[in-house]
Amino acid sequence: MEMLNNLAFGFHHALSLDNLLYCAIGCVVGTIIGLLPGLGPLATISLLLPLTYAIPTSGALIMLAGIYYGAQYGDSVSAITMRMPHAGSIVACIDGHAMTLQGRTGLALFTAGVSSFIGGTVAIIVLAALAPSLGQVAILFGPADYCALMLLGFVCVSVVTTGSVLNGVAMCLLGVLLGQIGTDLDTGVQRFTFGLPSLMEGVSVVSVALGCFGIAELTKNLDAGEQRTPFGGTIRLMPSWPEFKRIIPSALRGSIVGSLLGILPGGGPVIAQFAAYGLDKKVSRYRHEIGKGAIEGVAGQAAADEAAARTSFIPLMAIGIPENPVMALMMAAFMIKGVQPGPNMIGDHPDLFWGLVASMWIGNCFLLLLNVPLVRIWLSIFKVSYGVLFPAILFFCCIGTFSINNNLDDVVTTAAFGLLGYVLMRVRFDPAPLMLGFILGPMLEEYFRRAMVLSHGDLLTFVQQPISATLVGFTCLLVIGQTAFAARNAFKADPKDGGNEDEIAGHSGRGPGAAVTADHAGAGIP
Amino acid sequence: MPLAPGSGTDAIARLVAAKLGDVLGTQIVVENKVGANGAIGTTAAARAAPDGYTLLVGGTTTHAGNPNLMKHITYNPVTDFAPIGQLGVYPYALLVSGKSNYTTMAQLVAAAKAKPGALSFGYANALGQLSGEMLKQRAGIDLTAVAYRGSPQAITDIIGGRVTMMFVDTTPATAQIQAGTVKALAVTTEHRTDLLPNVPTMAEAGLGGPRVEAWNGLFAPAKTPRPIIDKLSAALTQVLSQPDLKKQMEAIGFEAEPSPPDVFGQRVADEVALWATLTKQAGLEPE
Repeated sequence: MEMLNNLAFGFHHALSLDNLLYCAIGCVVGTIIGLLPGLGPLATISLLLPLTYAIPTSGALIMLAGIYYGAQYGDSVSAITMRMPHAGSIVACIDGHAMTLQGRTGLALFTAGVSSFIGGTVAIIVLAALAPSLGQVAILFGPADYCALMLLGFVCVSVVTTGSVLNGVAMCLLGVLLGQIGTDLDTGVQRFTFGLPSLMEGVSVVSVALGCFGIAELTKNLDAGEQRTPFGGTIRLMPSWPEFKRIIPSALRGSIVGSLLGILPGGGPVIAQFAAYGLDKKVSRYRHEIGKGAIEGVAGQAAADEAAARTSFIPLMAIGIPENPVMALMMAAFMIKGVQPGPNMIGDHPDLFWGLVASMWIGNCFLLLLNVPLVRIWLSIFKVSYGVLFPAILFFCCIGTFSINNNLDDVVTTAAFGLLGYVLMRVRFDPAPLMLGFILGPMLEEYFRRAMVLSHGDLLTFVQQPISATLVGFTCLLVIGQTAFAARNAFKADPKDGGNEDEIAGHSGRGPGAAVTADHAGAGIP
Repeated sequence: MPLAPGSGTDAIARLVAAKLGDVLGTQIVVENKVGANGAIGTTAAARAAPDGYTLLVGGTTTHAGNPNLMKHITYNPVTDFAPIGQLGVYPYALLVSGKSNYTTMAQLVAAAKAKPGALSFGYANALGQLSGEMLKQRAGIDLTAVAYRGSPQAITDIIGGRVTMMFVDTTPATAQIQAGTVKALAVTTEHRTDLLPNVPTMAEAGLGGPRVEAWNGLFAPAKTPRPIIDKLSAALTQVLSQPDLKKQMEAIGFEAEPSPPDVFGQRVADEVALWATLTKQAGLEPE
């Protein structure tokens, strides 16, 4: 009941004309940067931060928050239509883009829009109901627990692999190696930087994702010389009832996974998408279709991405700990306004907290409107001929990567990854597991080493703490279960039955794939 | 601005830039050119035209830490820049978990002596690391050093009691101290700070020594004409004496402490030398 009172109080604030306007501005700006390849909320919010000096506190925060979750809302669009991912929509490149190739762009976009709406709604309920207590979860997780969580993440490697498993594991390891570029946190040693200052802080996930997916895809289209448009002038947006029914369970699963992972520092939307995709691949009724253009492959990702973006506000507002760079920027915005985010913030500034929560739901409705009925307008850009469109897209990629650090070297890095991505695509290597390794590898290493330092080198620390022990146990069960399942299938299956072979290969490697990766990461530590 | 948007120095730079623009009757744009621990943006500023239109907010990291901790440094913190003036300092505090039993430095040191290596300190930057190493030397104790990518992560582990202590600027800590989730046992400033008036200094706790703290200031490229420097310096001093700006800065955990160009220039040179000695003593090698 108290929550409803608080929400009513929040809506009272959020529904003022000023705040509605700021929320709408935030959502529109967020949608635009979400649609443009390469541009992300971090660069946009840091550009707009000075503007907020002139705006009242709650309006400013509502607008900045709108930009952040608005950008996550629409970020699957470019992945679905052009295979141009944002950091939070990498897996949409798999099924979303496959749906585009099948001429089902409209359905994919509808799925992404509606799933984001569901993800946002679930996350707001979590935020409103549990924010104060859930903030404590971030403190419960220590280095060993995070390390175990990352290990579990590596099990996803076989899930995001569409080709052979060996291929996936190889790409995942390549990703882990690419993630090593930069300064070693503990010793300050330069790894693979070749004395280049621009590599000292590593390669950004935007450069790798844009290069390996988007730019590689553009190049491939060019050399194939084929004129293909993502949709033939008109698109069928509305799904049929059976199709719509498939969106809901997957989006709900994604929302829950995203809400949980959003609370934990480090990954947020980026890791949530892989987890949601992996979960669907395990439990969905249509799991055999995932990877080949399934609705579930889009719905889970979009919902998880959006949910995680919203729940990542919980640690900031409930305990004053920003969990990703965008939240650090939000924290700066709070502090410039004279509000100290911390354990007392919700109590001291209820108008800010509940106003923001309520505005998120209003923003959710704005975004649904912007992303579903109006998506046709955004997509009319594809009526432009490819000769004009390609340079324009590349231009935006350059702006996007440049805007991260205001540094031209990053554009060169992205171009280099474009080349790598093109080569990989030509030799039929899969970029998705590469991204997974690139994102999880460095985090696994960081947490593993920290856990080892704190336990004075005692590996038992991973089974002595309840959270980490549970996660490690779960990972082992998954690996053993998959291996046993695959072994039994391989034994049963008739070798002459060619149709099943891919499927079996897909299962058999899952376990070993994860195990190999984990061993590798462990072995990397002297 | 060579550091990331959202960092403490970034917030200070933006506050000062807005006010400085008002005083000078112009608009000052803050451009974050981040990377290589601030070295990329600092190098860019060193190479900019010395016309007074490109300025740099530099500080401990760029003008004392990097020159002593990086093997390949592409700027000279003293000869490549014309100092305009100091902006102020971030007092550093030694934090422990609010749940821990330590309430004084003496208790903490005694506990560390009883179990060498069992207690740990976290750090997310060179100053935090150096402060920890100096504490080890001065108190004659052994602590395990734990590296973090950012202060928020480290503070999370302090609150959770996984890491014993941490030297950190008060920016991310103030709200936590107020809520009692962490306790500040000492500050590393010369005098007690207005931000945490009840917390003793390291010297009061008997662990004094050379003063290391985080400072930052405004620089122009070397060879900027003296009249321009003087004009900027006068405007900066005027801005930093405005009470509302001071209050905004304090809210971020920053103490305004303006100084004229020559005094500031001397301080930068002194800091480079001090860090050279301290990093050597602490056994930190340039990489």
